[in-house]
Amino acid sequence: MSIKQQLMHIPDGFLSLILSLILWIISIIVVFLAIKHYAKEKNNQKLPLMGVLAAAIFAGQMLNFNVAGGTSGHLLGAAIATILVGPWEAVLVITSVVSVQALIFQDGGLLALGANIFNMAVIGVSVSYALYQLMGKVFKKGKWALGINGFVAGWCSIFVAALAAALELAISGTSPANIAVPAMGSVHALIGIGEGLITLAVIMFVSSAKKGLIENTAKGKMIDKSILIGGIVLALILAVLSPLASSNPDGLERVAEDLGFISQESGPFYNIIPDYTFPGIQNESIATITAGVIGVLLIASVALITFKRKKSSAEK
Amino acid sequence: MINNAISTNSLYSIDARVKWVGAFVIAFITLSIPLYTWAAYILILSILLAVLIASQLPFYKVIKRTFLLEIPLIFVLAPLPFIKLDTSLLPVSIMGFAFQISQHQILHIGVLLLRSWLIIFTMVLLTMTTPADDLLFSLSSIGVPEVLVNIITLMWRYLSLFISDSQKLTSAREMRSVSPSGLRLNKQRFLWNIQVTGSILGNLFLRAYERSERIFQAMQLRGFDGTLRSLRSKSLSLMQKFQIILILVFGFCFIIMAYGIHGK
Amino acid sequence: MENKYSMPIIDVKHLHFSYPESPETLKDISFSVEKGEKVAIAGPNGSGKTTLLLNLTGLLMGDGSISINGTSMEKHSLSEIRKQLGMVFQSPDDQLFSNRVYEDVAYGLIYQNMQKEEIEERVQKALSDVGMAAFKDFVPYHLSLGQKKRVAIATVLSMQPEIILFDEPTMGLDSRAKKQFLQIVQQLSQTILVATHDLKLAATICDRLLVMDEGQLVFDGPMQDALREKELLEAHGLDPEF
Repeated sequence: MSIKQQLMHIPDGFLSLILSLILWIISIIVVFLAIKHYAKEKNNQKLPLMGVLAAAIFAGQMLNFNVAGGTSGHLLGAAIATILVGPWEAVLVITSVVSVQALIFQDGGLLALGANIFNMAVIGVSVSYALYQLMGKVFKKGKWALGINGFVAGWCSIFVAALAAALELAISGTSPANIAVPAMGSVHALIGIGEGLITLAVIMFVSSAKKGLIENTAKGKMIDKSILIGGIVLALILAVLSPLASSNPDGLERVAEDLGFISQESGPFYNIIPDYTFPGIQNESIATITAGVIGVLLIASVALITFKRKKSSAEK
Repeated sequence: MINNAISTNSLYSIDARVKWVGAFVIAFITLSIPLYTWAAYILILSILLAVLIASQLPFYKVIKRTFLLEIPLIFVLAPLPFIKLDTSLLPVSIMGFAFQISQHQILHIGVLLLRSWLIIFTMVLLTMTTPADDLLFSLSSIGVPEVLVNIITLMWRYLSLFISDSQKLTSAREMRSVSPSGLRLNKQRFLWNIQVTGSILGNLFLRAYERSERIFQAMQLRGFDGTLRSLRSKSLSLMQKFQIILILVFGFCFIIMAYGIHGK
Repeated sequence: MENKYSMPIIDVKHLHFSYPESPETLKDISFSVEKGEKVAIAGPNGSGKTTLLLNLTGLLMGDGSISINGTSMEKHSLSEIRKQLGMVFQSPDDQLFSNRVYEDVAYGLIYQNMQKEEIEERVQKALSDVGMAAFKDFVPYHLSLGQKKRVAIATVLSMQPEIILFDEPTMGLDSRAKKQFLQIVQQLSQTILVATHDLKLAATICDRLLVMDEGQLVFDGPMQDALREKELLEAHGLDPEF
């Protein structure tokens, strides 16, 4: 199985450790709320549904579709999952997909997983849900209404999630906002069109093949106000903040520094760890050489042990 | 002690939970030490190489897999060396184009990629020495909620099935439908593409929906009542607790040491 | 419940069932099965065989009455009834939803709050009964369809039910896997109901035949008699010359 790297999955090493931890905490809280929602509903059928749908979304993400100009896009699927099974369930579905991609396929980092869950499962789903519901007030009837609403939800989920990723990179000091925001934004504005059209096509297909499936999930449930408001607020904040940050990258950097996000060169624990130098090692080049010697000794001894063991087991 | 470790194939028999802690600790120290602590990176790399040798996995195959992923965030990182953030500018000329790049930025991005790669290396070693479902199941005993672990393991069970389903659907479509080259306009071809992908995915989701209904029936017949139970959840043995503590202490000492080398 | 007179282990009376917004799938079905009987339910696709089996498990509930081993089918008696009856689904991939063969076979036992040692024992026995003991740590995806089928049977056997329902058990199996399946089923002492459109299979395993068509029970009698009624069988989409 091989998986193509997706632009949205942030690897390890590019986010500040403190920001990673904060986004972990937010994601954990939202996932916890989603699980509480599932437990409260007592609809056991949803467990296999979420598991199997996650598998289908994962498989769907591996399909390439061509976006104009020879570039290919991938599906994220947050909007589709939201429309098919509802927002809280979609949070769990996308979280599962993103987690397995990181943990088993190294697509997206380990410590950056919290940020990736936040961008794709929390922002992706809540923005999809908010836009789908809002658009549902505009286009209520007609053959294309569901599809168009799905398109808008799909495009926005990708675009807003990309803005979030860009701001996270900027806050971490990896890339100034005036580069990260326009770069991520413009690329994903294009990819978002693919996502939106696929969402549209899937929604149209499913609603014509199995009447009632999508209508039921829309009508059967009360509108979830907390996610609706959460999605609108997140979309608005990111839409306002990212051009602001982009036009004033130094300002963002200063704020980030003040908050302790950027402490790159000396490391995040610079201020906590007491002032000392390693006994016996006065300068860095000696340390580097010592480390090299220790490393070689370690590798050689492990190789020796492994070789001996291999030989003795071969003799048996 | 050493003999004991040799007689059992130590690396593969280590509990998945202990390995998770190990991977997290390596990732954590890699990202928390000062940026230019080369000595620390050398030590981390040595540990990973030692693990690779002990695992007896094919060396080239593992290293290749760590480089399989495309360079991430290329759009965001590529312009960085060309913006003048400092004075360490280096004149370069390629094919007649003369421009300046920032040495400092190149080094900076290089270190970020190195850290990223070290953690990918760690994760590749982890996933290649442990069965994936062991890794996923053990998540529940390192604090991941049972509901999520159940969704994840169900997804893992059906992933390969859906991937082959989607491949079958794709090739069936390609054989039956009008070839896209028959469509003259780019726009038409694009829309055709979207429609095909949409119907393949739509089919996939309908199948998923129906399959989940049958799986639920099978679960109910075997007594599933909404509570989540598993045979795999067992508590850590004393030895495993000891290993975890050892790893955590090592990580802590490593970070302290790295700051010491870096000098304040 | 000991009774002087033998009581049917399955008793279905005037069962009607329809899916929402569809015509009736089961129309006034009545029959009973004695303990230890091997019964085939034959009929063309869409005749309502699977729906009937699902009604016997209580996964679907229609109008009419069903009683299993003296317990009548009600919402509150479902867990009691399901302990006595197991079903092997048409697609083993739906039934094997765990990541290891062992876990799938043990799943039902865990929900019966059984001790670990007893679970171990029962899983071992069930797996060796179907000749899959060597595969207990396998991932289901890596098994052949025939092997998956056998594990699916083991998931049912481990729960030691009195009645086993099979839904199209040989669908998609190659001839070797079919033979293995027959060997396993012929050794079972339980009461067996097999839904199939394969008369040859039905005649090999069962001594009694029910024929269904368009939701109705059109024949109920000994297998020998049934096989002589060629016209009737052909009229309901079954091939008597196998």
